[in-house]
Amino acid sequence: MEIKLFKKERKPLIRISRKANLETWKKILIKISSIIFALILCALISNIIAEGSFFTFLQNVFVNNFASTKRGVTSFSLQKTINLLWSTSILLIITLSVTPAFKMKFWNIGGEGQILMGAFGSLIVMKFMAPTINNNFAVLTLMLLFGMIFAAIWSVIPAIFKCLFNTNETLFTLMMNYIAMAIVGFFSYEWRATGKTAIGIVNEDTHLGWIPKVTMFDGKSYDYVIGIIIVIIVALILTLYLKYFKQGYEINVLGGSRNTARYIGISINKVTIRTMIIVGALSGICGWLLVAAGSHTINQTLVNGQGFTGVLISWLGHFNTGEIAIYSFLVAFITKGSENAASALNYSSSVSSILIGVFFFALIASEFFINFKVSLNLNFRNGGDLDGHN
Amino acid sequence: MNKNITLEVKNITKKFGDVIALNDISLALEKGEILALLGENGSGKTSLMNVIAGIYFPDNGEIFVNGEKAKINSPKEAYKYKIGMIHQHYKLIDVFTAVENVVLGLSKNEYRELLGNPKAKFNLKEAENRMNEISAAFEFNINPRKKVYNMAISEKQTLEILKVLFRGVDILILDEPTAVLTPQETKRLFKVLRNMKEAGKTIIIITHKLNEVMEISDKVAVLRKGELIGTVETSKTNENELTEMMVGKKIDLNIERSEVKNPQIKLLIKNLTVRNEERVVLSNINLNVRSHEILGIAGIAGSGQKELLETIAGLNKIEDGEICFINDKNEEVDLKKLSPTKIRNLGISLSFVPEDRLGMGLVGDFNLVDNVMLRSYRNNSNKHFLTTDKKNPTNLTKNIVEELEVVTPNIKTQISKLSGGNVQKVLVGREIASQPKVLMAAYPVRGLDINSSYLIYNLLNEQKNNDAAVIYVGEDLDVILALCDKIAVLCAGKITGIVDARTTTKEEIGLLMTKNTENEENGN
Repeated sequence: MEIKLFKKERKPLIRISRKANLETWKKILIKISSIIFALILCALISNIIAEGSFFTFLQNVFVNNFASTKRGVTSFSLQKTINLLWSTSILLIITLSVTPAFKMKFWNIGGEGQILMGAFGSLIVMKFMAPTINNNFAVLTLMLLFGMIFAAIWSVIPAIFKCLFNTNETLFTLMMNYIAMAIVGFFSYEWRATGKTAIGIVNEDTHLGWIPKVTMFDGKSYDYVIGIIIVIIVALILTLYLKYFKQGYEINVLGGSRNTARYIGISINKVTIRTMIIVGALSGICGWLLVAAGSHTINQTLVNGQGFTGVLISWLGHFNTGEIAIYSFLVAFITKGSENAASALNYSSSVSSILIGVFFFALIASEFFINFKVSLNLNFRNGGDLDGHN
Repeated sequence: MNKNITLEVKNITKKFGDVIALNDISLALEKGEILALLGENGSGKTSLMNVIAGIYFPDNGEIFVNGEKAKINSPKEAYKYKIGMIHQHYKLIDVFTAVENVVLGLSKNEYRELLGNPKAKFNLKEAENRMNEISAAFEFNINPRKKVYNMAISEKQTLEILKVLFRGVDILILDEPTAVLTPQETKRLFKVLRNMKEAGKTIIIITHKLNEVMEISDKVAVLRKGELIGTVETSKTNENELTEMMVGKKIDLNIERSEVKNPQIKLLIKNLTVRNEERVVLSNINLNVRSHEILGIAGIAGSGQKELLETIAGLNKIEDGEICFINDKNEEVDLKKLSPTKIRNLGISLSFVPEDRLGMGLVGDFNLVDNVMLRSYRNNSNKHFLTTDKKNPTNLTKNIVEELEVVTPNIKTQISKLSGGNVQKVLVGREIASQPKVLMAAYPVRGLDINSSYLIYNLLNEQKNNDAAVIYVGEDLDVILALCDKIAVLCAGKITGIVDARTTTKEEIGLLMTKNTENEENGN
């Protein structure tokens, strides 16, 4: 591909050509430099908004994600580290739940709605069945089951329509998000707590359907620890499933070539529906975690756009669990970091959205430089070409 | 300098990334000359022509037209230098008429410039008249008001030629013009080319069929891997010499055909009719496929070859009729009720090589082992109930690579990084490894170099001698005639004849290939 900036000259100024395979270490180097570049750019933007905050910003990202400052003394904070890992875990499981669909080239951008429906299923159990069951483990199990079923129903509907009527899954799953939000919006008002306009924290007194805290080595109890472990286990199982299982192999064949799948005798409809049920079940686990370990309530913005962030991370990570985990961490790291900075430096939280955008932009740009070579031809006016001939 | 030289390219080099598609190519053509550009797939024939026609811009080198240096930045600019190219895949708009396609993209001023008459009228009526003039001059038979979707393939090709002649072209480039034609149509095309030559046009024809080179050209330029091996006068060379130039070594161009011994009917196809979403694609097919025999299927592209094989493999719904497989115990098995997987388990194997080579049967992003595994991954053993077994496919891949001389860095290489010939060896090797009772191979040598093609023919022969029933669908009639024992000719979804490959002629098959449509035309 050649982009010609000057029509008269015979040789183009900028030439973009596809790179042959790059060594892994070079790829990693490009990625790391793009991340460093992004951080510096973020710090510069922060510096414009709050003058002189260049280093404060970096400190908020690098130090305050893991440490807290009390009376001028900065020390390691387990709570903050766990919070960061929890954000990472949520992003990770959201991303993993959309990944199998992408692997078979089913463009499911309905993660947001599927997770919300999963959370809704869990909440129903928590709010209406928990008092009669009155056993936390049983309540949590039932919540998980309901969450998975609700989310799976939400994800399998577009799949069925795709198989029967060849509807466009991208639009369908996108629209399903808004329906899910409307349903949750309606019921969170319908089931509002007395004297309030929303559901509020459920079972605040009994803690039924709350994933319990865990006592760590410093003697204190922490939230989220079990949630993080569950996500790690799910991630491992999903990786094994996609890599070593026959069903995972079929997903890959479908993504590689539908014609080949057909010639091999794979039933495309069966695999599509089965995979979308799995996708739904994973979203259900995620919704369950958000309710049982996270907020203990539900509202329209519970997932907070992370269903879409997951789509982005899934692509950036090339659908590979290891890479996805790294990117999930990086995104959580910069998100939390810029939120820290926003509160420390007193600027609006929408600034942190800008910074996250800049970060993503740099990561995506690095993909371009990994795949393409850009050559400048400064000698273009004389008609010289890129190899120095005239 | 010779005054008659119309087109000259000097030291043309073109790179795609690290791949050198053309390396320092120089050629010169005289007025009224037919040059055949010969070379295997990927040798750079089409790239070179694309440079001349303004589709690619060379990295280095110059083009001269009638002695003047030419800068050709686009196909439109190529027309200014009176150069026109007819691509292998026609660039016509189906819902337009012939004349509408001809004038498409031409402005009033351009048309006036073309005629050298600044006051010339330019409308469809005028264009039609001019089209008819050209048709008369070169003995074309084309109706300007016929819609393209009503045209046969050869008519579309004529229209493409007319389109460039309408633009006053003096240098014509034809990319594999005979690939889709019947022998009779090829003869007609060659007559047209000779007429144009008489009229002083210069013609370049890209091909890899040697007999056509010998028949039509004055001069042959042979390309191999982006290098110009040589330019020779056709009258002073022969097919063997040209092959050697093309391939780089001597090759025996004979296919060994063994006698049919003790054939048993393996597939019985009775009154088979298949319909896709739009139309009937196979109608009332009756065919026996026998073991120890290669059955060739001939026909113009899209006559139902693909659908026939797919239906046998269980991939299409049968509307009427039946297909029976006769197993080793001499029992008839009705395939209509079976799933594709069950049909495969009976030993009926289909390998289909589509134009992009990977689309049917292979996954480009997978490595060799994962591709070989496609056939066997369902096998259940105690150890592998849910998970895939990679050990056996790995061994099989190693065997295929060794026996078929597949060139690959290792068996974990992504298959799309291999050259076309090696990809096909993996595909055919995998199919043969399952020791099929019926082996269906559609276009197995599509795009292969001569060496690999003969390797595949030998593999098919081996299967025949191992008592398999082989069905071969191919494009090259010469190969079908030399390889097969029996030839069934398809035309528009009907069988127009089943002939003995040892006694029939190319002309007879050619007639059968168009039998149906000609009847229809007479009926109109």
